[in-house]
Amino acid sequence: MSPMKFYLQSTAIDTREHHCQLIRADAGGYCSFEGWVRNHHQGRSVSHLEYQAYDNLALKEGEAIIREALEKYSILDARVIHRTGRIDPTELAVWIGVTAVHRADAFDACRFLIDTIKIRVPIWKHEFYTDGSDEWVFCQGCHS
Amino acid sequence: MKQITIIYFAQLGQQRGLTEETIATDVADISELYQHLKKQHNLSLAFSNIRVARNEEFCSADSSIDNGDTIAFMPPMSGG
Repeated sequence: MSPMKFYLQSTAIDTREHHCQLIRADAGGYCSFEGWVRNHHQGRSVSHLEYQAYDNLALKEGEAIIREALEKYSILDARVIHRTGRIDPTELAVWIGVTAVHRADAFDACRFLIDTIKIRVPIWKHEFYTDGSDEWVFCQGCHS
Repeated sequence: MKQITIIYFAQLGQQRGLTEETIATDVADISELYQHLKKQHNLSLAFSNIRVARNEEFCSADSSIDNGDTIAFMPPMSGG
C-alpha cells in the first residue's frame, strides 16, 4: 500500500514538516497553496469556522484526487493537509504542496488539487459570525 | 424490515436535530429513503442537491439498501 498523501487533522498545521517530506533531488520546483481563514464573508464579520468531515470517506476521496493529479500532470509528488474542528481567522485551513521537474505542472496541479478538493471531498464549513449567528457555507461558484 | 444506520452531515444534521440514528425501514432504494426522511423531518435540500454514501463509498440514487447498511446524506461539500 502506498504511503498516505492526504491528511485530516484537528490541530494547527506544521507546514515545515510536510514541506521537508517533499524535498527530493530530482525536483526542479515546488509549489504550495495555503487556504487561510478570513474574518469576513459576503459582507459579514466572521468570528471563526468549524470544519466537519466524513473522515474515512474524505481520506479515501482525498487520496483518489491526489492519484488523479499524479496521472494528469507531470509532477513528482503531492501532499494535502486539511483542518477539522474550530479554526480562527489567520489560521491555516488547508495546505497543499506539489513537486515537479518543471514549474508549470507544479502550478497547474496545485490549482487542480484545491479546486477539486473543494467540490469532491466530504468536508463542510460552518461559519460563525460576530453578531452571534451562524451558517453552513455553500460555495455556489465551486459547484457551478 | 431492515435495520440501517443513517448519518446526516452539516445542515442536514442541524435540521434533523441529530447526526446519526438507526431506523427500521422497508424502502427499496436510497432515493426513496431520502424522500421519506425529507418529508418526515422537513429537510430543506432536494435529493438532486445532495451526495450519498453507502458503507463509506459514494453511491447512486438507485442503490439498494441491505440490512446493517450505513447510509450518509451529504450536502454540497464546502471544504478548502
